Amino acid sequence: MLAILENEIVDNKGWASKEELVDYMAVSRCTPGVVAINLATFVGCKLCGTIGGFVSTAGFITAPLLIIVFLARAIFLYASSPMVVSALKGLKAGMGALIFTSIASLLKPSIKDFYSFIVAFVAFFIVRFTNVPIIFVIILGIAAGLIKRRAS
Amino acid sequence: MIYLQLFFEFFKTGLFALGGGLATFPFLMEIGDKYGWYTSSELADMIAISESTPGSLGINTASYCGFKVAGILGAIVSTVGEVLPSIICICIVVSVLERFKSSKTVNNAFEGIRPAAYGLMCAAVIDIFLESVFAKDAYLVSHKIMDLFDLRLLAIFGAIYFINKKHRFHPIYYVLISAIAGIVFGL
Repeated sequence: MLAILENEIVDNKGWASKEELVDYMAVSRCTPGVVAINLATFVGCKLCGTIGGFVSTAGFITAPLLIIVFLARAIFLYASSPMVVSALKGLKAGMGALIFTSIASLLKPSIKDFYSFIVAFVAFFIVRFTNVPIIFVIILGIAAGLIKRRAS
Repeated sequence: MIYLQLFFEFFKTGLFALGGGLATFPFLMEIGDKYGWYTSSELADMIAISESTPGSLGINTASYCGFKVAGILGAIVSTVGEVLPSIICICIVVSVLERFKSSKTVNNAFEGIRPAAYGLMCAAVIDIFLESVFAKDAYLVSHKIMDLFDLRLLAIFGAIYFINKKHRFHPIYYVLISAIAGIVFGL
């Protein structure tokens, strides 16, 4: 999806240079929210201010929203059909493979050293075996990152 | 009021989930546990459908969960709730871009956020895999560890993984292959 965005924004529309897009991408990765949405908002905001940000995000979410609503209704209606049940089970296993590929590709950029491994392990342990809200785990992560730099 | 709850929960997800769609999974689990709106098995279904439709995975799951809980309006409210933090934060960041990019504090914080978010993601993905790649239902009936492994599911998982690793076809082919395999195998 990011490749399509790049093609459209840089080559077809000329809304940003390739270097600018790399910048936008870097910032989109470290601001709250889903990266692709952040990037769409970023380009809109850069071109036409806050309104531009709103408009491009609205454009980005409308079509998928309609498709999901349509599919969700269809699946709800045919949920009892054995064929749909089988197809869905197959689909889940197949999409699991794509999710596995994504999480494997995130391993290297996320776990760089022993310290980050410990942070990941503690986060995993907390969410798995306690009822501590996830937000606190993220905040702990921020603290861990700041402490690491202070210490070294 | 259910729409307000949806909006609030997905706003929180949008604000604290940093990264791609996977980063939202831990939040989706937490929401399901907290309100009982959907079970983890239903969540696994929703994630599979969202992964196989166009658009960003993180947003699609928000739309689907919202729809499941409160219909079309629920889908809209959840989706808007999830993207609003992005819009607000980006619009602020755009005006201080240079300072943000070179900020030591932001970069340091991410040294900790990335692994923490990764740990959270792994925990969520394990739960989802128990529903989708492993046969948790069969295991819960028989309580035999071996029943967790359904060769048909593992075959689909393995086939898609290796095809994707070698060729990187458009995802729609994987959707078709795995759905048809599910029907052929009579899962």
